[in-house]
Order: sequence, then structure tokens, then C-alpha cells
Amino acid sequence: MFRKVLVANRGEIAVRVIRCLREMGIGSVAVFSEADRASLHVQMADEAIGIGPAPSSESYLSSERIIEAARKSGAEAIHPGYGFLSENAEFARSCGDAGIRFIGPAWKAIEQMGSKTAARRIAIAAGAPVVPGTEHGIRDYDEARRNASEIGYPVLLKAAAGGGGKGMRRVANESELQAAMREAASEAERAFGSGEIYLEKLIERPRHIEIQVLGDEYGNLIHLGERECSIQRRHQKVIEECPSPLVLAKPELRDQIGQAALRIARAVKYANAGTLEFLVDQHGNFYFLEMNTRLQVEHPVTEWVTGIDLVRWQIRIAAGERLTLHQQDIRWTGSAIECRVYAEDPENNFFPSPGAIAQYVQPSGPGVRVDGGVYAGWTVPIEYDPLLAKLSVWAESRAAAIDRMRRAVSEYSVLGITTNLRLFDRVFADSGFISGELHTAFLDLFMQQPRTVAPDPGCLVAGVLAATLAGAQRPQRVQEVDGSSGLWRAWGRRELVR
Amino acid sequence: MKLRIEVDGEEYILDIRSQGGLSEYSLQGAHSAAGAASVAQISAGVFSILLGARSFTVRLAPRGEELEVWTATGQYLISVNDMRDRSGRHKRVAAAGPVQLRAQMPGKVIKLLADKGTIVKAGQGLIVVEAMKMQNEMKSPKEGVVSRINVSEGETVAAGQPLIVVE
Repeated sequence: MFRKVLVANRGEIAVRVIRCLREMGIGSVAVFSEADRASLHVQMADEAIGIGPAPSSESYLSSERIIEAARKSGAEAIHPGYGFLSENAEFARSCGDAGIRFIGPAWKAIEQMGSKTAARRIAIAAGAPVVPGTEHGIRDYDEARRNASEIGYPVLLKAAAGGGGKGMRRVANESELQAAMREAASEAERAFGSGEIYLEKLIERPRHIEIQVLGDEYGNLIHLGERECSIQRRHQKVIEECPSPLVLAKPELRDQIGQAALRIARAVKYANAGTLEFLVDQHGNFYFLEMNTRLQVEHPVTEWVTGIDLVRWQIRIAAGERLTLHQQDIRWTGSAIECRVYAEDPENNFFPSPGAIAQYVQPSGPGVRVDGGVYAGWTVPIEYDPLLAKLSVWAESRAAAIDRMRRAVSEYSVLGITTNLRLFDRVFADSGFISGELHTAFLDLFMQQPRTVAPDPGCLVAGVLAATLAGAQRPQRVQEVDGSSGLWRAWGRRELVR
Repeated sequence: MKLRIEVDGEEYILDIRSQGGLSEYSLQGAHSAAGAASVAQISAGVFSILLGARSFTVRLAPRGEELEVWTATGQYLISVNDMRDRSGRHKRVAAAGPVQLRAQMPGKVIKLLADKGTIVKAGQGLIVVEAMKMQNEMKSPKEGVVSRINVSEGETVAAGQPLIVVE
């Protein structure tokens, strides 16, 4: 086993990995940019090395500086976390060249799965379902018409060169096809400099369901079930759970998608932890989307229901150990849900809200886990991702897990910056969420609904009284004419001596 | 003692007096309530409030000119003013005169979309500010002329910092 590991990341995931290293008796080395000197991961690690200025391109994304830090500290392996260099095949390769173990799959597998089109071809060859569509750009209307009727309406026109919804058109039937092609092509031309478009079957109200796989270097490969990640904003996940409510309704689905995922992972001889993402329609038909060749943000929900420590296994596998878990031994017990606590304002278009954290109180108690990277008094930097912490819970059933999550959210207090915590109160009270009718546009539609939850007048009164008392103690904070706040201050003093 | 309280922009009148160890309160506004409360400070920014037997923990911290107030099921921005303070808090008037465009969040100025002297329409993009990998185009609040630009591209700005004046 390694004696020392460098964690090439920041925030909550760096803290998560450092915690695991400590449990395993392995020394931990944190790296930090100039903006992160006071960050929690730096405080928690055994050693910490500065790797450059705040912009990630000059620090967390610099292979040279990170490998140099590993050399200097004598770390034998690097855990990349997620994001930053975690899916960079060149970095994984450079680690190997420098004699440092990259804790993740072989660089070749990262490279193969790094391109969406290449991954799609691998999946097709492995006999896994993909969203039906044209493999290459369509030349003219006749070809589009032929393809679209083969695939079946509704279809989606997409720009070959781009993403982000540009050059994308939904086509309900053939009469709309020609005009939509013209629009999509000219929009794509303007946005990406190429008017090439292709056709894909439109999956209506899809769910995002992914499969966790774990493999070693000796060909052992298992899946650890699914995670439902349909609650998203701006194509980023906000709430994840295991089991998926769809799997609770159709238990056979877990193994069906799991086996498809294993076929794809086997095709690239995948070793270490990885995740295969699928779109699933409302009937349970599933289609491979892409593979994330790293640890996933939402891995705690899988850890809750399987009892398996994914980070520990990542490290053991990278150290050359054999996977001693067998597929038939994997059990999924109860239900787990995770909320991503972001520094952002849901009432204002999910706008980021960096800044100083004035107060920070985490929930605890039975079945509650917080993977955090922040503390009271710390200033959330403007340079990085707005994820502050992940709150996850486990309970015997999905309904009990929802109740527990609502309890945990009510204990969670962050002051000084705006977070999305209050949004969770409302989502977990929503009948659509409770009944498990999820799809990727759920949150967008939810935000457009009028509020139904009435405010608690008691909370308002309590808040006003506390603010009045606090205000009386800080008279400079309020506008006053000379001598006007004598009464108020006197009241504030009286209440204080209690 | 009467106080003018603003909760999330809505005005309330709080009448409060101490009576035998309790605070008797009457709150008038969108949600009115009256009764007796026991108010105790636990530590800096943390209060325990008993309304009858109902127990509330309230946490608060200054946020700009207001107090950000947290309770288990509600979070508010509150400002407290003495009733005899007739100067009041002036709401910013957007319609006439010069309008200051301020940063909504700390960030970095990525791009200025208008020069000084440019005639702009209401809703026209003036400046792009980036924070946490998200870019925000701030738009002109009114039709007018860009009379002042306080920042330059690449500059880091704080929340509330004046960026551009449209006259």
C-alpha cells in the first residue's frame, strides 16, 4: 500500500479523499492555489503545497506543477478527485511516466471514453443501446426525411460542432422538418462556424440514471447499481438518489442497465471506479450517453446503500489489490438521497453567491452525512465551482429518507452567502417528487410553479424579535436621530442580562 | 416602544414592551401577530425565542445594511428602524435621473459592452461579470447615456460595487 498520496483537487472532494487516507493510515498531501491558502482541505491534510495563482489554468489544471509537487513531497500516487485533471488522459499518462500512480483507470480507457462519438461507437459494438440517430451529418432534406422516419418522430436536430442548445430543434412530425433543418443549420453556422447537423430520437421527459462500476486490474468488474440524477439545473445535478424510484417500480431494470454498463466498461478493460450515464424514458427504455472515468460527485448515495467505501477501493485497486467483492454479494439496503448545497440563489436564476460565510451549522444525527469543504469565517472564492457541501441521508425506505432529509435541511444553517438550501424544503414537499415522477426538466418546471407552502408566522415573529434585539445592540447599523434609540438600547440591555 | 421593521421589503410595525420578564409584542403587517415572548441570546448571532411554549432558534448575521435572519423553516432579510426616525430609508428610484448599476455578486469584469457616452436602450447589455465559472451580462435599467464607467476589464469587483452610471 502507498505511504503517501497527493490529492490534486480542492473543496469537499479533497476533504473526502484526505479523510479516507487518514483512515487507511496513509499520509496526505494537499495542493492549493493562492485563493485557497485558508481552505479546509489545506488544514486537514498532513502536508500542503502551494501550486500557483488562483486561476485553475495556472494551478489545479497544471499537470507539471502537480507532478512536481508529488515529486517534492515524495507522494507515490495522485488522487485527482473529479473535475480539473481527473479525466485528462495526458495527465494520467504523465503521472505514469513520472513513476507516480494515477488513482483512476488506465490513460487509454480515459482517452477512449473521452470522446462522445468514440464512446458511442464502443457502446454500439458492445451491444449496448444508444439513442437512435444518424452517426454523421445529414446532407440534404431527402436524407433527413428518410432517417427521421426510420428513427421515428419526434426527433431532435443537433449541431455536430456544438452544444448548449445552439442549433437544436425539436421536430414533432415531417411537416416541420424542412423549416427546422434550415433554422438549425443557420443557427449552428452562426454559433460554431459549421452548419453540419445530425438527427437523434427525442426522448421525452427523460430520466438521467447512471450506473456505478468498480473493476480491478485483473479483469474483475462489478456494478454497484444505479443513481437517479434527474433533478438538475443548467444540466448540472442538484439532487441524486439510490435506488431510483423507477427501479423501485421495476426492480429488473437495475440489472438490465447494470449489465449494459458492464459490457461497455469491459470493452475498454476498465479498472477502478467509473460511472456510465444513461437516458431512460418513461417506459424504462434506456440509452447509453457517456462514461465518466472518475469518482462521481454523488458517490455517497451508492456508499450508503451498498456499504462500500468507493474511495478506499479506488486507492486499493490503484495499489494493485484485487477486488474481493463479487457481484452476487452486492446488496442494496434502504434508500439514500443527496443534496448538493451550492452557493447560489435559486430565486435569482441560480446566480452564484460567493463571499464570506458568517455562520455555518451542519445537521447531524441518525443517518445524516455531510461532505463539506467550508467553515464559518471562510470566504468562498469567486474562482471555482459553487459547490459548498453535499448533504446525504439514509433511511429504510424512500419515504423515510425524504422525511429525514427535510429534518436535516431544517438543521442546516448558512449565513453570509445565499445557498440553495431553502429550495430543498420545497422540492421534498412536492407531491411530484414524493411520488417519484422525475425527469430532467423537473426543476425548471418546478421553479415556474407558484409557491404553495404558506410561511410559518411563528418563525417570522421569532426572526423579527431576534433581529430587534440584535439591532438594539448594534445601533450603528440602523438609521437613527440623536438619542432616539435610548428605549430600544435599554430594552436590548435588559434582555441580554437574562 | 414602536419600531418600523422591514422583512424582505415588506413593512411591519412592532410594538414591544417588557412585562414581568417577558416581552409583550404586537406585530402589524402582512402577517400580524401578538403575544408574549421570552427572548434570550445564546451566543453571538444566536438567539432562543419562546413564543408561549413554541421554541425557535434564530441565527443572524449582518448582510449589507440589513440583517440576514435564519430560522428552521424561514429565512429573511430584516432591517429595524426606530419609529421616531422620520428620515426613513429611501428606496432607490429607478425612473428618473442617473441610475447606478451595481455588481450583484463579487466577481471579475470580463467585458465592457458599451463605452462612455454610448446611447443605450433599456435592457441593453452593458457589462459582463463572471463568478464561479458563470458569466452574467448586466443590462441597462433604463434608456439613456452611459455617463460613467467605474471599472475596467479584468478588474475584480465586490458585491454592491458601483460599475456603470446610466443617465
